[in-house]
Amino acid sequence: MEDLNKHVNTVNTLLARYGVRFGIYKNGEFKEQLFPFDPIPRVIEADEFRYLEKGLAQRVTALNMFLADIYGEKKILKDGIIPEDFVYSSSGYLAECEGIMPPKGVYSHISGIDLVKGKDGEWYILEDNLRIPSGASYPLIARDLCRKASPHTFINNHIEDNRDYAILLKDTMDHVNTGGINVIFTPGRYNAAFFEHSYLAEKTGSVLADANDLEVVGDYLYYKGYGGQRMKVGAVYRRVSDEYMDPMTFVPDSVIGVPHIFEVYKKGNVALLNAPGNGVADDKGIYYFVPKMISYYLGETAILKNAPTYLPIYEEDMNYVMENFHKLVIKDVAEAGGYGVVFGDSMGSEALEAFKETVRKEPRRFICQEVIDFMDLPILEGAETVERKADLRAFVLTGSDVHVWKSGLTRFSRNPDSFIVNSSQGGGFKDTWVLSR
Amino acid sequence: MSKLRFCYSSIYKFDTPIVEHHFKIKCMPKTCGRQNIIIEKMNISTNDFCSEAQDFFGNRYVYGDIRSPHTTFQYEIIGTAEVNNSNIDTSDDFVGMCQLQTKLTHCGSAIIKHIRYLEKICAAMSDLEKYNYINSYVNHLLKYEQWQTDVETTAEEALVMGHGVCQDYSHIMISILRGMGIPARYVVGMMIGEGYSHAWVEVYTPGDDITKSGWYGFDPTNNQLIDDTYIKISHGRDYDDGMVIRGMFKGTAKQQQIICVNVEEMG
Repeated sequence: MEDLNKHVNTVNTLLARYGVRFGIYKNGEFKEQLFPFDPIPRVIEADEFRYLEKGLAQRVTALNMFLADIYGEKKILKDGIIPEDFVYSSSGYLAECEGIMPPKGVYSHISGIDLVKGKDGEWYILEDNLRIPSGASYPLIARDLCRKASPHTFINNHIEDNRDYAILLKDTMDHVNTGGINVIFTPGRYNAAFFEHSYLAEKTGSVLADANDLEVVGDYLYYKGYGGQRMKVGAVYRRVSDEYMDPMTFVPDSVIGVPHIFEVYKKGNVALLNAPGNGVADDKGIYYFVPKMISYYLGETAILKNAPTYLPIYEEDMNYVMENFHKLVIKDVAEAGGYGVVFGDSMGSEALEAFKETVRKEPRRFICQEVIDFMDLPILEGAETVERKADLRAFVLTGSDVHVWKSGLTRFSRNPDSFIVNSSQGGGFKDTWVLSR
Repeated sequence: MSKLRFCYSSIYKFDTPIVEHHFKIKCMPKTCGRQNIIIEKMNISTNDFCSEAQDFFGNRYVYGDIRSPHTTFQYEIIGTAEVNNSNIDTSDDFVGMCQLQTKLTHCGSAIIKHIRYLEKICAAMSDLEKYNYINSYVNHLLKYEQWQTDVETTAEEALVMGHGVCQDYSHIMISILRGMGIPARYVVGMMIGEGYSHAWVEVYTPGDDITKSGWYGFDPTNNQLIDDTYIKISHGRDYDDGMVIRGMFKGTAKQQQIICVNVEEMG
């Protein structure tokens, strides 16, 4: 393992050369950053991973059932398990998806579940990402380069091969394909994860397309080839978000969408991965209810725990939140990517009082959680090893069955005092090794 | 009961040719409890493709494309309607959704003031009395005036301005009702003597011994109850759900739109 440390510069140089970047918008300007790679992997023992695997598959199964229920019969609302207005007022809920059953009934094909390991040794779910979770390509290419830099590391250690991600993803697309080619639909060159779109297209043998390459004719979606010939599209792994996907159905001035694509989907003539409307299930407010969903739909107890969470809309929770504000983390349910996250203990007393007032006035907007003291992982800084906070994004692919990828994206915070590990906040990443025995 | 003949037609003129024109038209009334519709004729400009679908509320629409250069776009729908407004819609689908404000009905301080007042005044009334009272109350809040508001004007903005059209009356009434916890939805339709499409409000009551549960129609613009002279086209949460035409195209043309809606009693 130590051998990899010697090669860290080589690997990072190669990553830069391959264009492994992360784009961010700051003050309206697009900037690309390298996504710094740390050579010390996160290692997960075989037994521990089997436990995670069971818990993650259970969670994603329940979330998929929840989505089918919400856009269908709504039993969970009628039975009073989740308050109705929580669903309808969620920004991720799309009324346009009511009554639509996606091909093969799969809503969340590619799920990115963020977890942390607490100092108590217990894993906690931080959030579910069921819309367009990115990041699988980073450990994929990093592993590839590490293998080249230090082949014997991978001979001497019993590590699960993670190169099967491309096959898993292709199978997931093929499973729901309604007849035609597989396409990865990118917003384009200036998207934060453009590297990933092109990389996954290459690895899965899909066609990389932007809005100008796709068109709806009649009841079908087509890819326009270079020679002007049209190819029918059966599955679209779309990396364009719901609201920009179809200017004739959603945001009208979107220039990165395909007019009428939603109509084709509605008629069952193309699969969209992930299904539109999934945002209702990964809403930070709905998160609170996931363990309840698991017992409601599956009759099982949730294997993986949520971080202890309070919803200020409930009086009891509001009282607790008001008394313990200083030690909680408060999240704005409408924000993503580490934005809109505030730690109670980081605020001055005046700001704290003002914020409490906001929560009191807009209880639906926030969730409050106990700060989980999560485990530090070693990272290499120069020649030294230092400890930093890190989380894990596990990828769960749902096709004919639910499959947890035996790897994942471990992100760490570069700032020793920060708990926020999101790449858009300037963190780095590690490979995640799952041991095979 | 009444027998009506209707014609909904619209022409768009562009001063320079446009291409890659996508359209979506939601102006076909459909048969439901209160009305029996026969569409006799539907004409849409020559197009590359055209297809029909339904939105989640069950409203019908057609959509399609015209790719080659053109300077006019028109559509026309002609048919008959047998209306018996006493057959109200009793389904409770989306009642919960229709209780929540949208961006267009969101209430600010001006509307909230009226809600507080109405809550006191209406406390002892039955549901239908209450809705009726609010209907004429809203009628008096605005002065009917065209071209002052547009499709993006919210209920709160229209109220503060003090004038508007049927869309604004309806949004304000919906905003007030939802603010009082009462489910309400936005209806697009046609009526005798209007000349344009019209908008009104349907309000849900869970019912009691005397009143059937379901959706009751009110027309705050004209301060009257919906009757057999109204033909319903669609309903939704607000104007956006009921938008009659939506389109996009390539070109820099200025456009001019003529709408003509005619409803008359059949002899």
